[in-house]
Amino acid sequence: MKPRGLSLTLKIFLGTALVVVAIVGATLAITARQASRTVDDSVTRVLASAREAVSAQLTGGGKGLLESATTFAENPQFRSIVEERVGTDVLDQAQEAATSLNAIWVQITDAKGLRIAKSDEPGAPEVDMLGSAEIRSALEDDGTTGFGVTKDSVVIQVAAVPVYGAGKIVGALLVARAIDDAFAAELKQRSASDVEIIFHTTNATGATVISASTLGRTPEVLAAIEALPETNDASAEMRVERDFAEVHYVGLAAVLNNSAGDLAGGFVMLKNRDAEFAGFKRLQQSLLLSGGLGILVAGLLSLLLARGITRPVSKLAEAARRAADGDYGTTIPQTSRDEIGVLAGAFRNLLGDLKEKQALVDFLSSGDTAKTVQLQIMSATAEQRIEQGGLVPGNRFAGRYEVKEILGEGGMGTVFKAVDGELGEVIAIKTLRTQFLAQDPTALDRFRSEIRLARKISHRNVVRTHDIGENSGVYYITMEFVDGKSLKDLIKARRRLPLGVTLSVGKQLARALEVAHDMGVIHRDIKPQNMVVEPDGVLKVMDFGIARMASRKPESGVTQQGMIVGTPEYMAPEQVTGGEVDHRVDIYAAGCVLYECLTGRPPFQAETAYQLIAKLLEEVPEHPAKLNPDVPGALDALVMAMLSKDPAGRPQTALALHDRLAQIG
Amino acid sequence: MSGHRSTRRRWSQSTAATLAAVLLAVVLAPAPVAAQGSVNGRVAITERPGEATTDFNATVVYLVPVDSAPRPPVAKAKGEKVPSASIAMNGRAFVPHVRVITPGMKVEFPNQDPFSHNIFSTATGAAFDLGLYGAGKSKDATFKRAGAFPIYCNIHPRMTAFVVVAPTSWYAQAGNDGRWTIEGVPAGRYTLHVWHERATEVKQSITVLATGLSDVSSSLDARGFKFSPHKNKFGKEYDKNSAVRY
Repeated sequence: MKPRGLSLTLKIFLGTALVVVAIVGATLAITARQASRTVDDSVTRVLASAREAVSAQLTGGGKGLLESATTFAENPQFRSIVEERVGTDVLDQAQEAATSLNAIWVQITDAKGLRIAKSDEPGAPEVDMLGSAEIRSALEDDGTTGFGVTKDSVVIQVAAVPVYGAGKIVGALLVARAIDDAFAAELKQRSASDVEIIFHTTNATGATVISASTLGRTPEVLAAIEALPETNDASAEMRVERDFAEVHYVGLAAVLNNSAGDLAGGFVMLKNRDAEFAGFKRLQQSLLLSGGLGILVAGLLSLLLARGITRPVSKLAEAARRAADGDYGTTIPQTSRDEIGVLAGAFRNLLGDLKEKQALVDFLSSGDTAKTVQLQIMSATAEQRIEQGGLVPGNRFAGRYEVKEILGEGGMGTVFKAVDGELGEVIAIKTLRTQFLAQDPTALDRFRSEIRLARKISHRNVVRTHDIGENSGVYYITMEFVDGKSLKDLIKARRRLPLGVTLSVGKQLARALEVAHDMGVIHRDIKPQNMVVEPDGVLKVMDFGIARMASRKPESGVTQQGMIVGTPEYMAPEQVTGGEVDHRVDIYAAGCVLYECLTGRPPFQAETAYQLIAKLLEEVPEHPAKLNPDVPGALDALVMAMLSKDPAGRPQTALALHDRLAQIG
Repeated sequence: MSGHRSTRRRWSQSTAATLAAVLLAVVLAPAPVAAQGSVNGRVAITERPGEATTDFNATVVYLVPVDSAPRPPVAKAKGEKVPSASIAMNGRAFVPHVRVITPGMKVEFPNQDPFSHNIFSTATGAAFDLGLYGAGKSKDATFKRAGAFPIYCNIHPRMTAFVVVAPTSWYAQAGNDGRWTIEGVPAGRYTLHVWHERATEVKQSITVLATGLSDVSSSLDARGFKFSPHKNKFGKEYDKNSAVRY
């Protein structure tokens, strides 16, 4: 079974990369946002100041033009030329003015507004110029300036001033300066803010014409101008946002009026937003670069890290896979002290357990232990007793249990297989010899409470007790039905158990005791007969809480025959003598069980109970290693310690016992 | 121009009393004079970086004899026609831009444009105003003193000319290559004056041999020249806002 999906290595790498990408991404997003805001602020500020600068330039230009025209018209000889209307001289002066004032044309009218010269048109007809607001104003003794448009759709800035003769106005001088590309370029240069400027107007047919532009006259520039909203409010400022030649511009648009307030044209200032963004773009690139490097470094680190983690883990995974396939022989090296190392250790223990369990299973299946040994000890007298309570296979017992068959008979009573009619579950019913209970009225109550406590124990190595009841004078308990063989039968059948099987039995027994002791339940009657090994190798300990019933008051002791419940072979000295009993009697009994597993016999054997008791109180049993050379020293010592007469000499807890067993193998 | 020249030797021997007669004689009947040479040279003008000289021909050179040398003829006899020179107005410009004369000469200003001009000068010692006159007409002005005098038109501020009145008749205007030649210079020591409208006048001492003198090099510095607009004849500015030079 191969691991499916992403390998751990890839996951760690991807995780690390994801973190780096997330950090870089978040940084980029935040800086992009910040940069965008900063750029927008900056562009807005630049445009506002450019608007100021351009306005100032236009105003100043108009004022300068007006001043120059005034100065020119102040020359007495110019005045007399206009007054006398010497054609060639007027034209000459118009041309002179055009050159001096850098005008595209200069027109001169007489006092009635009749044109008498146009600099760029020597033979210009004498037309009425009173249509021009500037001429009208000039002839009314008021020099003015404003914007206009030439015939060929060039936006112009004009100034008109009166020409004085002897105490009267003899004409007007009209000067036009073109707002052309050169002008726009100069404006751009003077505004010192790198703002593009476009001047535009409309021709006679109403089509938009670009008069001056620092951005050229491409169709997209024209389209942008055409898209401007129409207004003739000179104070209106319209925000524009367009792309020209794949560059993003943000701008402001305004209109230009003539001195009568009529629309002459307009201009747009555009700031290259992308250029403002260039700094950020560089930052972005370096961020991306460092992010990429970060991912690379993180990738390498995570690969190294991942291999450090995954190598032992994949070894574990491989071992688990093989274990699942039934091969428990994989060795797992202790790699480190970290979690992986702990996991490896735990897994090694687990494998060890599985190995032992497997040994038990193998052992079970290999031997000829199929026959039901319990039945051999069934006696006729027992049968008769059972019948009294109506416990006969095929009968319904206690109105609830359908009795199936007799499983066996122990020191305490008889065990039946039955089906719980109410729950539909297979259970075991164990009858209790009422003679013990009858002698002490309070014994039953104590017994009940003990059972109530014991039934709470839920562990795979403990046979679950369900209930206690009485039917027609027969006391019984119901419990989990376990399909297996008693340890006693196993030992009888095989004489003694292999070391691995013994250790497995010991450890499973220790676990069962650990759980029970933790709950305050002492078994008091641990013996091979009370342990069942299931076909899958699980050892289950029966009869928790039942031995209590038989445990009389201490003073009643051992002096009376028949008072000794259970099996003296497995009893601790203090239990036999009726001293204070604690959980360590179970440890002693477990020692006896292990002794028997290893040697095929309990530690002490005698003809009578009294002889036996005397032995167990006084004699030191023979070392199991002497009886079975396969027993390692450590196990021999452990068993001997468990069989210590003094409870303090035994392993003090079931957990300690388990650990010592685990250390052995 | 005129061919009235005399030798340094003769002048050096003359007295104040005989001077006028001698000069008159020279003017009336040019005498064959020995030891007259040709002096030539070249002017270099140092311009601002990146600029090239385009007006070498506006350079005027003239020689003034050292050692109380006699002056060349500057006066004329009664009834004698005053030698004249001319600067025409053509296309709103004076042609030529620089005219060299000697003291006492007059300069004609013929108007070849179809419109009027008003020629004037406000220079100290040479101020005049010819008034407005139209096409085809000509007026003149006489220059008595030596010096360089700017000439303007009152209604065409960009029109400028210089009348340079050299104190002697040993003068020349450089060619477009900056080369100049003065013929008929008697041997002797002279101060060479080099004038240009954009540079400070340079004076050099030279000694002219009987065979003349060649390859006199002069260097003018035009880097310090600063243009300043002139005023009209009324003493007013034409247009202070104008970007056009005048």
